[in-house]
Amino acid sequence: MSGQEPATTATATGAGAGGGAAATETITNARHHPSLLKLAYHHTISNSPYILLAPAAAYLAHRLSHLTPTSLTTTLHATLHANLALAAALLFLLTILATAYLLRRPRAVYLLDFACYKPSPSHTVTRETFMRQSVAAGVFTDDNLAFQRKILERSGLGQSTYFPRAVLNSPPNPCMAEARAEAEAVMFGAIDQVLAKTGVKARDIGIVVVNCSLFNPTPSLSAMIVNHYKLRGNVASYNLGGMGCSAGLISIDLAKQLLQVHRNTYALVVSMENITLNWYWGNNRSMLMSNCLFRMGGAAVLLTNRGGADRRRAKYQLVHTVRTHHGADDRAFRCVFQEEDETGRVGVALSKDLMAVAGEALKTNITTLGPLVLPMSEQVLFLASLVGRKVFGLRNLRPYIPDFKMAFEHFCIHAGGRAVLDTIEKNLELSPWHMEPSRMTLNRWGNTSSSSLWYELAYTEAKGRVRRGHRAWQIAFGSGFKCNSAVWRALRTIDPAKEKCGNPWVDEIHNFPVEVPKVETVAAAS
Amino acid sequence: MPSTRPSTSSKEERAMAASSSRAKLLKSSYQLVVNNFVAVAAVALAASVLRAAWPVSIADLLGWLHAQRPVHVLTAAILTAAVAKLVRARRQREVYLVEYGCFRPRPCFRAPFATCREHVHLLPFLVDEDDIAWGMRLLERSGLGEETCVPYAYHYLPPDSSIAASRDEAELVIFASVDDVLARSGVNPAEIDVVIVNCSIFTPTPVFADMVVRRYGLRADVRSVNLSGMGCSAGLVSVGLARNILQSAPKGTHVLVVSTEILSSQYYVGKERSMLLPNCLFRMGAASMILSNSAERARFRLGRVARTIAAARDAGYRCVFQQEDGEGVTGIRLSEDLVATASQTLKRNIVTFGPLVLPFSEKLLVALSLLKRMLLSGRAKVRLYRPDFRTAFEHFCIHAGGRGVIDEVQGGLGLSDEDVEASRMTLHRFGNTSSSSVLYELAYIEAKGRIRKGDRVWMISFGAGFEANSVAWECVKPASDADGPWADCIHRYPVQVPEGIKGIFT
Repeated sequence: MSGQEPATTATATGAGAGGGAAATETITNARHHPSLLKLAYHHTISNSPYILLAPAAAYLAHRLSHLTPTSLTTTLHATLHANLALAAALLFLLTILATAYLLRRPRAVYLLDFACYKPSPSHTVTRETFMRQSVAAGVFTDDNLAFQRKILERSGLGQSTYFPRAVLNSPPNPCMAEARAEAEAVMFGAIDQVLAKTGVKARDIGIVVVNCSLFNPTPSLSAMIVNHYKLRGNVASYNLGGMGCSAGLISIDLAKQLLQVHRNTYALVVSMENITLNWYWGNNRSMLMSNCLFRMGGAAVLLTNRGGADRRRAKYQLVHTVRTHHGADDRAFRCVFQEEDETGRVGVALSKDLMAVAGEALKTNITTLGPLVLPMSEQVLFLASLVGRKVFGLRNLRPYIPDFKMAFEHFCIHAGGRAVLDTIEKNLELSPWHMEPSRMTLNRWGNTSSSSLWYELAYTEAKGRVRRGHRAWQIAFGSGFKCNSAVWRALRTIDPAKEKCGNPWVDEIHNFPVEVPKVETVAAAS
Repeated sequence: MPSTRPSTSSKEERAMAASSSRAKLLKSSYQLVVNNFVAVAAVALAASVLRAAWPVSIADLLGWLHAQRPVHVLTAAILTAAVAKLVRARRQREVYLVEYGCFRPRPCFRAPFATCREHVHLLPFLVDEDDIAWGMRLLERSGLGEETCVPYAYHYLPPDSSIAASRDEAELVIFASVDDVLARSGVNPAEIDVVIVNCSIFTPTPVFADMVVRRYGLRADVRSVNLSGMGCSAGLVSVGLARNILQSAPKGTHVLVVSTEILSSQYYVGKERSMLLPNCLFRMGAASMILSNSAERARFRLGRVARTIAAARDAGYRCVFQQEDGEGVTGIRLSEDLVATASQTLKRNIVTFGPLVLPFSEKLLVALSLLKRMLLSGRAKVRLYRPDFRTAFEHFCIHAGGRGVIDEVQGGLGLSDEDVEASRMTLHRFGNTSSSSVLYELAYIEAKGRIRKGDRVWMISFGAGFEANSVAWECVKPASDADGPWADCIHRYPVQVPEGIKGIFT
């Protein structure tokens, strides 16, 4: 694919302009269809064991067709009698192996359901509101106001993202109490919905993992949840702080590990970001970026390791989690950095290296993930290109980029910003259809940090795209620098009509996808 | 307590000593019999069986075995083996403490009382002489000594509460403690699979866990976890988390746990007394541990862990609370009923923890007193038997939160002055170092050379949330040297800490 891909994506999305339905049509048609040759190859390799076994089976059937049931039993009986010790030993071995396998196998982790928080309309912030608040703040220079406008125009954020009350007030009043109020609204809003949806009682929750990067009061947010829902006194609650946008999957990974030890329980994972106290009031451009991109949001996910009825009603099974940490590299460590600017105001600086660092972290992550998820056909191709390059020294042989569309049906890529999405779309050769959940989430909710992945999965569900057996890939990047991914397998087909509560898209999904132009105009603030 | 004992004649004293030694003998023989009941019964049974069926030769047994059908013997063997395998696999993996290390501040960080007084006078926000007198009185009675240390940021006038200062402090204390633990244990940074850092009050981005990954060049697949806002007991919460991770991880996994509190950004510059308390009590410190699920190089074996969260009650949730005061200055408010909440939560924690660790003899006594109370309900007030935790542990590390809470725990558990010496001395030498204090206490006991192989240690801590945590350790290998944070001052301890007036945290 050419370097012009981002531009063509945006225009392709809106090619059938003139109404939402037309746009949907365009996107649906754009869904990835591999070439016939590739498909044939894929099926051949993936089913090669069966293809090889077929002649053997035919031969066996031919041999056995002469036998009658009586002669068969007599032969078997005689053989068994002659080799009794061997048979017993084999049985012994089998029993031991089976027991060992059953016990060493990690416990399955199911996602019962999840919910995303949808703030009330009073929290809506349009690009114009944003600029008005920025002008009213009176701290930004004209240059930097123009810079913020430029970022907003190109950010891919739409006209109905949300800000907390404290930032929308005039004058804004960020303080601890307001930040707690925002945290309560977001967390309890999402948790109430997920509990209502699943019917799980708060007292049955055995594990709570909360992640919020920038706001970490004492007592912790996890204690806030324990306090509000009156959870048990022995609940295993953990509050992860400062772990960036990829912390949502760190929480999932942690919950997965805890569910290996705690038996028969529910784990509540809450991912959110708090804007109130983290609005930057200075003129350092690298820190102003985050003002323009980050918005209010949060998600609550209910995981379980219980079998039976909970297994049957669960939506997904967690198949893999892969975590990558590039903190050992100085450039990666510094690329998202909270510090004071020259005037002593605190902000989060995003460095220019961000895209390069994210690309490297992504590469490491998919190198680990690839062998776990890719079908044999892709692995053979990848191995062939590797062997060609390393063993036979074919320098000009292009390294084969595995086709992850063969491994997953749905992609949820952290909606960090348009540039991140463009880079990944290009690197993984994804189609606009695959990028749609991420792009629409960025447009509708902004960068909600660690919870964005759940808004994306909710979009996929609301569109009715998730069928039983489908695999979804969530991948997120964040400060540190960390890249984490999780793979889910759908256990049932999800009917969007039944997703009345907890899915923030459900009332408005017919309006999506929308066209996201490369540059949008922002009316000048008066 | 020596001060409360009435003066008696020497004869009475001798009689009392004799009777108390008789009681002690009675008690220890009771414990010996009850706790080894199973062994006693087994020996008796074996003896009786042997007597009943004595003239049995090996040949007879073999003959009997021959008489059985081989299929039956094989089936029995298979079943036994499978069950044994099942039991072994179901048993949760043991977790070990390979080594721990603490940050030892250099003398230039010291904050003697005189310096504190001078600083307070020079700071513009605390002009009220009453407040200053109150603060100094508090400090003098808090049980803190003259050698506790505060970060560089506090030595500035006014204190430097910038992120850069906090980061400097974090790098200083965290890296020093991790360097120490890596040097002492001989673990290579590349062997570390999980990093857990806990710091309650300050959380930068990128966070401390990332700083550790960067500094030590840890592997790209390291799993990092940073716990925030979880108060003074977060150190033991991290131990519990590490245990959970290690129990399901492949053998030979190493977890690095760092417990610290970064104070620079949290110097309260307001006037509210309940929020000034933390300024007086909290001091800099950090401790690191390396835990593993292989016994190789291990020094302690992790025993039982119990965690109790009282956040569901509003009083518990609000008793340590970060907020702005009337003038918008952020600080931590310690509520009036902190000691009461702490002792309540501790009681709940001990009720969970006790049955897991106490020997059978003590459990039997508790059960008997419970039964007595049930039978006599309404007719007489029966005091519940207070189990003697000294039968289960040789050493105690009680979080050095302040003099008040140490007194409370000592009284509640019936511990002697020697049992709580480590806590009091840690409070005196290092102050309240938050989540790392229990490790300074362990280091004290080791520096005194009191830990022998097989000794059991109880770490107990409590903090914001409100929550209480208990962890039991058993020594596998005592320290080969006493070169911990106490290296330069252990010969001066224990010291006599002047008595103070009881009150919140004092």
